[in-house]
Amino acid sequence: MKFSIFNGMPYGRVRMPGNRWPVPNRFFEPDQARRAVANCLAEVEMEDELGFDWIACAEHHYSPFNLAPNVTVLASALTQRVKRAKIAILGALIPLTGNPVRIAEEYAMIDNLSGGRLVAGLLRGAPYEYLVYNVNPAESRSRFEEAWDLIVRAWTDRMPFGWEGRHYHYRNVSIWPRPLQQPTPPIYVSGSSKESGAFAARKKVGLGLAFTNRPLAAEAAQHYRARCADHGWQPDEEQIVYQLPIYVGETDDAAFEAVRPMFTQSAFTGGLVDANRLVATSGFFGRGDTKLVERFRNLEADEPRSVEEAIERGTIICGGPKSALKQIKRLHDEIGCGVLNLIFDRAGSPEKKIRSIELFAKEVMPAGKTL
Amino acid sequence: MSVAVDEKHVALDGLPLHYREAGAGKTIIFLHGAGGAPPRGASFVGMLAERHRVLIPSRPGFDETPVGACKTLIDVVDRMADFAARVAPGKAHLVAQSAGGAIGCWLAIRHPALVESLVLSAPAAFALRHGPPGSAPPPMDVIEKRLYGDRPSWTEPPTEEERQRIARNARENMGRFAAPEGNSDLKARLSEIAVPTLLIAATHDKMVPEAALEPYQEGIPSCTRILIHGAAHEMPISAAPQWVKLVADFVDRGEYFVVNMG
Repeated sequence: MKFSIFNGMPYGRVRMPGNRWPVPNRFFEPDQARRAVANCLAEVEMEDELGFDWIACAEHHYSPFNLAPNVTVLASALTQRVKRAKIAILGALIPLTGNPVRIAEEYAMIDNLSGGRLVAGLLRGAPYEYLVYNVNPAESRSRFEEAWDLIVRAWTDRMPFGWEGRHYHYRNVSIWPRPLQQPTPPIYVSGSSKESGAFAARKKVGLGLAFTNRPLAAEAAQHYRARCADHGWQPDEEQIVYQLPIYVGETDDAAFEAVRPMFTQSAFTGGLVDANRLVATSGFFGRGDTKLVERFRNLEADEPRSVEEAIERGTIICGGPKSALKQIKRLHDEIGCGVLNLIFDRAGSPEKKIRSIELFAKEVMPAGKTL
Repeated sequence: MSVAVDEKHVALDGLPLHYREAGAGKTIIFLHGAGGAPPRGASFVGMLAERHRVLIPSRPGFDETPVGACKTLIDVVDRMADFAARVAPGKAHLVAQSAGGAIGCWLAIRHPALVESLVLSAPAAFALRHGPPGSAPPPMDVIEKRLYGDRPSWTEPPTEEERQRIARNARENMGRFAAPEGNSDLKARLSEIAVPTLLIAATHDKMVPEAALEPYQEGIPSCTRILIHGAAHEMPISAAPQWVKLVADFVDRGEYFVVNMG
């Protein structure tokens, strides 16, 4: 297996009452933001030296947990700090921007700046993101598919072209630079929904599974592999990425104690869950994805209530090194994923997070890479 | 808005050439593909004719126009030049679909005084014309799906009689005016096309592969290529709104076509 570490430049705790979305930016404190930036850039250097295969980042909006509304700006900074690992953008939310050619250009720049180490995630985003730029969620799928075609075309077509589509219109496209990786960097799309899995199979690209659980992810991965077979190919393991939080402690007990506060109250309350529900039930998912719509209709009910339950459902990896490895093996075996994108930000403090990363890198990752 | 389409004939040195005419404004001569004149229910004709004069001549050997004395592709080209000179004096805008592409290119090369601009819509001059040796042609409904895609734009669908007419045109005319292998003579002279040229390609074209379009953009000095996303080969029908928008804008604005004027 390969291991990716997600670094979203988290801001940390917001000193505000309640749990509303969008988070009012009057609670933004410059000194705290400076520390978040400094920590992020220092951590990615360390993560690179510790041997993670990918350093990942993602686009999220109006979000203290991820200060990267333009993910290529963050990825650009990472290229100057990360010398060995791949830079995985997981990803830009391509239906939102209105300008897919700009995404093609920026990704190509990142590939050049990193010496050809870009992993190119092209995603639709979580449902709530559709409240950010006023994009109709029912158009998400068709915008995504057209933008995807346009971006790949911009990377691969060797002569200037124009584009007349349903959503995007250009009279001149001829990007400089092109990506260094030929014909394109490795591409991943999010694939929790059936339509996304079928799309990834049709386009012969990788699949990313996030904000889900092991049974649903296993089902989605199986659907993807079946559709790949329909199109006459089979993905290798590295083309299936599963993302989840992780905490590795010295012992199981220490790890459980560290993350238990996460489970004392629901993470899925307040404005964000409402925002997700509103969009998810407004045509964001396709007709074949009623399970997903129902899940977002009542996220709180779907949430694990304990560390043990979360481990069982594969929504967290938690424990001492031996337990963590066992859980990773189960994810690998049941989902068939070849890359885990790990989120270490649930540790409770920066010091605990660093310790967890180090423990994982030294005590878990070497054996995990042999799976 | 409904635009009347008139059926007409013009005698060219004794050859009674059939054509359709609709609308008023800048003159567009639509050079049809291997199936002959488009089905009468094709929406694009009326859409294009809302602000333009649209002429759709049936070339020698197609529809009601007899083949006459034409023996080569160049004979046909010169006959179409006669048509343009008679029916559209001055310069006209040529819009060439599929197999009409070679005619449009040769007109621009041999008769530049008649041509204001050239639109090549999935031109087929450099595409293979036949399947593998011995292979049977696919059924008509399969061909129609390849031509028109999933959402063809009709005021009314083609009648059975029209479907048969189109099939007959293709069957009788494929190879009738055979060009040298790979149209190498045309390829060598594309650089002589001096008028602004718009090359429109369909991203879902199953008839003309993209590689067969490269020579136009490489060879024609002033050639802009636009892709219509999701369109099948016969773009005037498979993607009528987008196709008409591009063609009309190009005809109206010439080289300013590339500038977004709002």
